[in-house]
Amino acid sequence: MSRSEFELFIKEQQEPLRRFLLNLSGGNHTLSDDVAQEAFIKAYLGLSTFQGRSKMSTWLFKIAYNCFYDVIRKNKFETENGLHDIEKLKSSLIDDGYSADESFKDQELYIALSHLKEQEKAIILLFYMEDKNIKEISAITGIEQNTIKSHLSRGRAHLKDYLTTIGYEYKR
Amino acid sequence: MNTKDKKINNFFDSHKQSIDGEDFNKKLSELLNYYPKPVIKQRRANSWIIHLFTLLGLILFTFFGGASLLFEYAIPVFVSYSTPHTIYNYSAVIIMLSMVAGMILYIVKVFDLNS
Repeated sequence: MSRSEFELFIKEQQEPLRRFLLNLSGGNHTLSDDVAQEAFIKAYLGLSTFQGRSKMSTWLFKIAYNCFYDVIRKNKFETENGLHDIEKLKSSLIDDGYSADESFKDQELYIALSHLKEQEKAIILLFYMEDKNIKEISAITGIEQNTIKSHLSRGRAHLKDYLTTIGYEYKR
Repeated sequence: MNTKDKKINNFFDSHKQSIDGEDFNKKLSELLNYYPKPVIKQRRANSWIIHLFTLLGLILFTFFGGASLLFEYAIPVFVSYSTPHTIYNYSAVIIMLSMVAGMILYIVKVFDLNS
């Protein structure tokens, strides 16, 4: 893959990857973009190690997923099971230049996601938001397919409970 | 189990953010200039052993009359379906077809035709 082909790959993949990391980090734009950048660089430098057993986008997500948790471990971010402080979230979103409507929607999403355990969150995001299938999720997270199905089922139940609590209705 | 729950799917669909990538792409592209060009392993360069043994195999096969023997037994199967054939005839056909498939795979792999 040439440099220009890789740049095309960045253009195609930056949005889903950054969105995944943004939602995984609970709306931390700086962290998600830093990790996305690091993942792209690692992928670029490691192009020779890509064996083509999975899609290149899956490989990139795997790198980003590992980078993200490396950073979390290093910095001891307290995201596990923790509800983000709503006021903090609100101010960070407004600071990022979001419209009130967008920031409200994002808040709603981050709060819903904060009701999930870390692995459930990642799996639910990959499955519902990024349309990855079980096999791809397994390749990205390194978790067995059956375990993913269990996480998915539990995460779905938690989310459904939460959405019912807030009175979210399914609209066709 | 793997089907998407409509309510949750709807929730994620309506909350899917679109992220502008112009600045990110530009910054990343500039950043990549500081990194060395990735070295793509030339598998072909390391595969001399494959060429060597393929060549050796072909020479030995021809030298010991394998090719003519194979043709001798395989051709009747292709020429006439009505005459009875022995196990040797069918074996020769199978070996022949396997060799053709092997050759195609070899060509695809060596010349990277699938990339």
